[in-house]
Amino acid sequence: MTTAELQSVFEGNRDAVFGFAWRMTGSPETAEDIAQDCFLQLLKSPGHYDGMRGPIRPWLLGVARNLILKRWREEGRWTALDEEELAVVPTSNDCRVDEKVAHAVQSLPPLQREVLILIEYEGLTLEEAGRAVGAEVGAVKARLHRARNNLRRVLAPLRSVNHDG
Amino acid sequence: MTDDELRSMLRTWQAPPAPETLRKRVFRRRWSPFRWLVQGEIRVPVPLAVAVLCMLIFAATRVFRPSATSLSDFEQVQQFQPRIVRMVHETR
Repeated sequence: MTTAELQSVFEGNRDAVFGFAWRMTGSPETAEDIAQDCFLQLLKSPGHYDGMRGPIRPWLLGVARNLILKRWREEGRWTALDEEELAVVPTSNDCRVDEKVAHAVQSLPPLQREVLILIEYEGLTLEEAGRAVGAEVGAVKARLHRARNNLRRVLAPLRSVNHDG
Repeated sequence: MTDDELRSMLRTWQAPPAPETLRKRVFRRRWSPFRWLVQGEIRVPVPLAVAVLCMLIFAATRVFRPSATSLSDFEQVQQFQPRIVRMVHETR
Protein backbone atom coordinates (compact mmCIF):
# COMPACT_ATOMS: atom_id res chain seq x y z
CA MET A 1 0.00 0.00 0.00
CA THR A 2 1.37 3.40 -0.97
CA THR A 3 1.48 6.35 1.38
CA ALA A 4 -1.21 8.09 -0.71
CA GLU A 5 -3.55 5.11 -0.36
CA LEU A 6 -2.89 4.90 3.36
CA GLN A 7 -3.56 8.63 3.63
CA SER A 8 -6.97 8.15 2.02
CA VAL A 9 -7.83 5.25 4.34
CA PHE A 10 -6.54 7.26 7.29
CA GLU A 11 -8.68 10.30 6.51
CA GLY A 12 -11.80 8.19 6.12
CA ASN A 13 -11.38 6.10 9.25
CA ARG A 14 -9.21 7.90 11.80
CA ASP A 15 -12.13 9.22 13.87
CA ALA A 16 -13.87 5.84 13.86
CA VAL A 17 -10.74 3.94 14.96
CA PHE A 18 -9.78 6.54 17.54
CA GLY A 19 -13.37 6.81 18.80
CA PHE A 20 -13.71 3.05 19.15
CA ALA A 21 -10.43 2.78 21.08
CA TRP A 22 -11.37 5.79 23.22
CA ARG A 23 -14.75 4.33 24.15
CA MET A 24 -13.23 0.91 24.85
CA THR A 25 -10.34 2.13 27.00
CA GLY A 26 -11.57 5.47 28.32
CA SER A 27 -8.11 6.93 27.78
CA PRO A 28 -7.26 9.39 24.98
CA GLU A 29 -3.55 8.54 25.21
CA THR A 30 -4.15 4.80 24.92
CA ALA A 31 -6.66 5.38 22.13
CA GLU A 32 -4.08 7.38 20.17
CA ASP A 33 -1.47 4.65 20.64
CA ILE A 34 -3.92 2.01 19.50
CA ALA A 35 -5.03 4.04 16.45
CA GLN A 36 -1.41 4.66 15.47
CA ASP A 37 -0.50 0.98 15.74
CA CYS A 38 -3.62 0.06 13.81
CA PHE A 39 -2.76 2.25 10.79
CA LEU A 40 0.91 1.27 10.93
CA GLN A 41 -0.12 -2.37 10.84
CA LEU A 42 -2.04 -1.65 7.66
CA LEU A 43 1.03 0.07 6.20
CA LYS A 44 3.36 -2.79 7.12
CA SER A 45 1.08 -5.68 6.19
CA PRO A 46 -1.48 -4.47 3.65
CA GLY A 47 -1.88 -8.05 2.43
CA HIS A 48 -3.69 -8.96 5.64
CA TYR A 49 -6.68 -6.94 4.47
CA ASP A 50 -8.72 -8.77 1.87
CA GLY A 51 -10.84 -6.27 -0.05
CA MET A 52 -13.10 -9.07 -1.27
CA ARG A 53 -14.35 -9.65 2.27
CA GLY A 54 -15.91 -6.22 2.68
CA PRO A 55 -15.05 -2.60 3.49
CA ILE A 56 -11.89 -1.72 5.32
CA ARG A 57 -13.47 -0.07 8.36
CA PRO A 58 -14.60 -3.30 10.08
CA TRP A 59 -11.14 -4.75 9.42
CA LEU A 60 -9.44 -1.71 10.97
CA LEU A 61 -11.77 -1.81 13.97
CA GLY A 62 -11.00 -5.51 14.34
CA VAL A 63 -7.26 -4.74 14.35
CA ALA A 64 -7.84 -2.01 16.95
CA ARG A 65 -9.89 -4.42 19.02
CA ASN A 66 -7.13 -7.04 18.98
CA LEU A 67 -4.53 -4.44 19.95
CA ILE A 68 -6.69 -3.35 22.89
CA LEU A 69 -7.17 -6.94 24.10
CA LYS A 70 -3.44 -7.57 23.70
CA ARG A 71 -2.70 -4.52 25.82
CA TRP A 72 -5.19 -5.60 28.48
CA ARG A 73 -3.66 -9.07 28.51
CA GLU A 74 -0.21 -7.56 29.07
CA GLU A 75 -1.62 -5.41 31.88
CA GLY A 76 -3.28 -8.42 33.48
CA ARG A 77 -6.82 -7.19 32.79
CA TRP A 78 -7.74 -10.17 30.64
CA THR A 79 -9.95 -12.10 33.07
CA ALA A 80 -13.74 -12.08 33.11
CA LEU A 81 -14.34 -10.64 29.69
CA ASP A 82 -17.92 -11.75 29.31
CA GLU A 83 -19.70 -11.84 32.63
CA GLU A 84 -23.44 -11.79 32.37
CA GLU A 85 -23.90 -9.25 35.08
CA LEU A 86 -22.99 -5.63 34.92
CA ALA A 87 -21.21 -4.29 37.98
CA VAL A 88 -21.77 -0.55 37.82
CA VAL A 89 -20.35 1.66 40.50
CA PRO A 90 -23.00 4.32 41.14
CA THR A 91 -22.12 7.74 39.78
CA SER A 92 -22.72 10.99 41.53
CA ASN A 93 -26.07 12.65 40.97
CA ASP A 94 -24.19 15.72 39.77
CA CYS A 95 -22.94 13.85 36.69
CA ARG A 96 -24.38 14.83 33.31
CA VAL A 97 -26.41 12.32 31.29
CA ASP A 98 -23.57 11.72 28.82
CA GLU A 99 -21.16 11.03 31.69
CA LYS A 100 -23.59 8.51 33.18
CA VAL A 101 -24.03 6.85 29.79
CA ALA A 102 -20.25 6.70 29.35
CA HIS A 103 -19.87 5.19 32.79
CA ALA A 104 -22.55 2.59 32.11
CA VAL A 105 -21.11 1.57 28.73
CA GLN A 106 -17.59 1.37 30.10
CA SER A 107 -18.84 -0.81 32.94
CA LEU A 108 -20.10 -3.43 30.49
CA PRO A 109 -18.03 -6.63 30.24
CA PRO A 110 -15.54 -6.10 27.38
CA LEU A 111 -17.09 -8.59 24.95
CA GLN A 112 -20.49 -6.93 25.35
CA ARG A 113 -18.98 -3.45 25.27
CA GLU A 114 -17.06 -3.95 22.03
CA VAL A 115 -20.11 -5.30 20.22
CA LEU A 116 -22.33 -2.49 21.48
CA ILE A 117 -19.80 0.18 20.49
CA LEU A 118 -19.19 -1.34 17.06
CA ILE A 119 -22.89 -1.52 16.27
CA GLU A 120 -24.43 1.45 18.09
CA TYR A 121 -21.62 3.98 17.70
CA GLU A 122 -19.62 2.87 14.66
CA GLY A 123 -22.63 1.72 12.66
CA LEU A 124 -21.37 -1.76 11.77
CA THR A 125 -23.80 -4.48 10.79
CA LEU A 126 -24.02 -7.71 12.79
CA GLU A 127 -21.94 -9.50 10.13
CA GLU A 128 -19.28 -6.78 10.07
CA ALA A 129 -19.11 -6.72 13.88
CA GLY A 130 -18.78 -10.50 13.82
CA ARG A 131 -15.83 -10.27 11.45
CA ALA A 132 -14.26 -7.52 13.57
CA VAL A 133 -14.44 -9.49 16.82
CA GLY A 134 -13.95 -12.93 15.25
CA ALA A 135 -17.32 -14.33 16.35
CA GLU A 136 -20.39 -15.82 14.73
CA VAL A 137 -23.36 -13.56 14.05
CA GLY A 138 -25.40 -15.47 16.62
CA ALA A 139 -22.83 -14.80 19.34
CA VAL A 140 -22.68 -11.12 18.39
CA LYS A 141 -26.46 -10.88 18.54
CA ALA A 142 -26.52 -12.51 21.98
CA ARG A 143 -23.82 -10.20 23.34
CA LEU A 144 -25.59 -7.16 21.95
CA HIS A 145 -28.86 -8.30 23.51
CA ARG A 146 -27.21 -8.75 26.90
CA ALA A 147 -25.46 -5.39 26.61
CA ARG A 148 -28.70 -3.58 25.79
CA ASN A 149 -30.52 -5.28 28.64
CA ASN A 150 -27.77 -4.34 31.07
CA LEU A 151 -27.83 -0.74 29.88
CA ARG A 152 -31.62 -0.54 30.05
CA ARG A 153 -31.49 -1.63 33.66
CA VAL A 154 -28.74 0.82 34.59
CA LEU A 155 -29.97 3.79 32.57
CA ALA A 156 -33.67 3.45 33.40
CA PRO A 157 -33.53 6.06 36.19
CA LEU A 158 -32.15 8.58 33.69
CA ARG A 159 -35.19 8.13 31.50
CA SER A 160 -37.53 9.50 34.17
CA VAL A 161 -35.08 12.37 34.80
CA ASN A 162 -35.08 13.17 31.08
CA HIS A 163 -38.82 12.99 30.91
CA ASP A 164 -39.24 15.14 34.02
CA GLY A 165 -36.62 17.62 32.88
CA MET B 1 -37.17 1.47 27.67
CA THR B 2 -37.48 0.94 23.91
CA ASP B 3 -34.55 0.42 21.56
CA ASP B 4 -35.03 3.93 20.18
CA GLU B 5 -35.02 5.49 23.63
CA LEU B 6 -31.89 3.57 24.56
CA ARG B 7 -30.27 4.56 21.28
CA SER B 8 -31.02 8.24 21.72
CA MET B 9 -29.62 8.09 25.26
CA LEU B 10 -26.46 6.39 23.99
CA ARG B 11 -26.07 9.13 21.39
CA THR B 12 -25.55 11.71 24.14
CA TRP B 13 -22.06 10.27 24.67
CA GLN B 14 -19.93 11.60 21.84
CA ALA B 15 -16.32 10.63 21.18
CA PRO B 16 -13.82 13.42 20.51
CA PRO B 17 -12.28 13.57 17.02
CA ALA B 18 -8.88 11.97 16.55
CA PRO B 19 -6.11 14.38 17.62
CA GLU B 20 -3.95 15.99 14.93
CA THR B 21 -0.86 14.44 16.51
CA LEU B 22 -2.12 11.06 15.30
CA ARG B 23 -1.45 12.06 11.67
CA LYS B 24 2.15 13.01 12.49
CA ARG B 25 2.68 9.76 14.34
CA VAL B 26 1.38 7.63 11.46
CA PHE B 27 3.02 9.53 8.62
CA ARG B 28 6.40 10.28 10.04
CA ARG B 29 9.19 9.50 7.62
CA ARG B 30 9.74 5.89 6.78
CA TRP B 31 12.78 3.99 7.92
CA SER B 32 15.92 4.46 5.83
CA PRO B 33 19.21 2.60 6.39
CA PHE B 34 21.25 5.74 5.68
CA ARG B 35 19.30 7.84 8.18
CA TRP B 36 19.58 5.00 10.65
CA LEU B 37 23.36 4.98 10.30
CA VAL B 38 23.42 8.68 11.23
CA GLN B 39 20.60 9.01 13.70
CA GLY B 40 19.80 5.45 14.73
CA GLU B 41 19.85 4.05 18.22
CA ILE B 42 20.30 0.49 19.42
CA ARG B 43 18.73 -0.71 22.62
CA VAL B 44 20.91 -3.31 24.28
CA PRO B 45 19.97 -5.27 27.43
CA VAL B 46 22.17 -4.24 30.37
CA PRO B 47 23.54 -7.77 31.12
CA LEU B 48 24.62 -8.13 27.49
CA ALA B 49 26.22 -4.67 27.50
CA VAL B 50 28.11 -5.46 30.73
CA ALA B 51 29.31 -8.80 29.32
CA VAL B 52 30.55 -7.19 26.10
CA LEU B 53 32.26 -4.41 28.08
CA CYS B 54 34.04 -6.95 30.29
CA MET B 55 35.23 -8.87 27.22
CA LEU B 56 36.54 -5.67 25.61
CA ILE B 57 38.41 -4.69 28.78
CA PHE B 58 39.90 -8.18 29.06
CA ALA B 59 40.98 -8.13 25.39
CA ALA B 60 42.49 -4.67 25.77
CA THR B 61 44.55 -5.69 28.81
CA ARG B 62 45.85 -8.70 26.89
CA VAL B 63 46.87 -6.64 23.87
CA PHE B 64 48.50 -3.75 25.69
CA ARG B 65 50.24 -5.68 28.50
CA PRO B 66 54.08 -5.33 28.31
CA SER B 67 55.56 -8.63 27.21
CA ALA B 68 57.82 -10.52 29.66
CA THR B 69 61.58 -10.73 28.89
CA SER B 70 62.38 -13.87 26.99
CA LEU B 71 65.73 -15.48 26.16
CA SER B 72 64.35 -17.53 23.35
CA ASP B 73 66.19 -15.42 20.72
CA PHE B 74 69.49 -15.49 22.58
CA GLU B 75 72.42 -16.80 20.54
CA GLN B 76 75.75 -17.81 21.90
CA VAL B 77 78.82 -15.88 20.69
CA GLN B 78 80.66 -17.98 18.16
CA GLN B 79 84.12 -16.34 18.42
CA PHE B 80 84.96 -14.68 21.66
CA GLN B 81 87.42 -11.75 21.13
CA PRO B 82 87.73 -9.73 24.28
CA ARG B 83 89.45 -6.36 23.96
CA ILE B 84 90.71 -4.67 27.05
CA VAL B 85 90.73 -0.93 26.99
CA ARG B 86 92.68 0.67 29.72
CA MET B 87 92.66 4.26 30.75
CA VAL B 88 95.56 6.39 29.45
CA HIS B 89 97.17 7.25 32.81
CA GLU B 90 97.36 3.58 33.70
CA THR B 91 99.47 2.77 30.58
CA ARG B 92 102.01 5.42 31.32
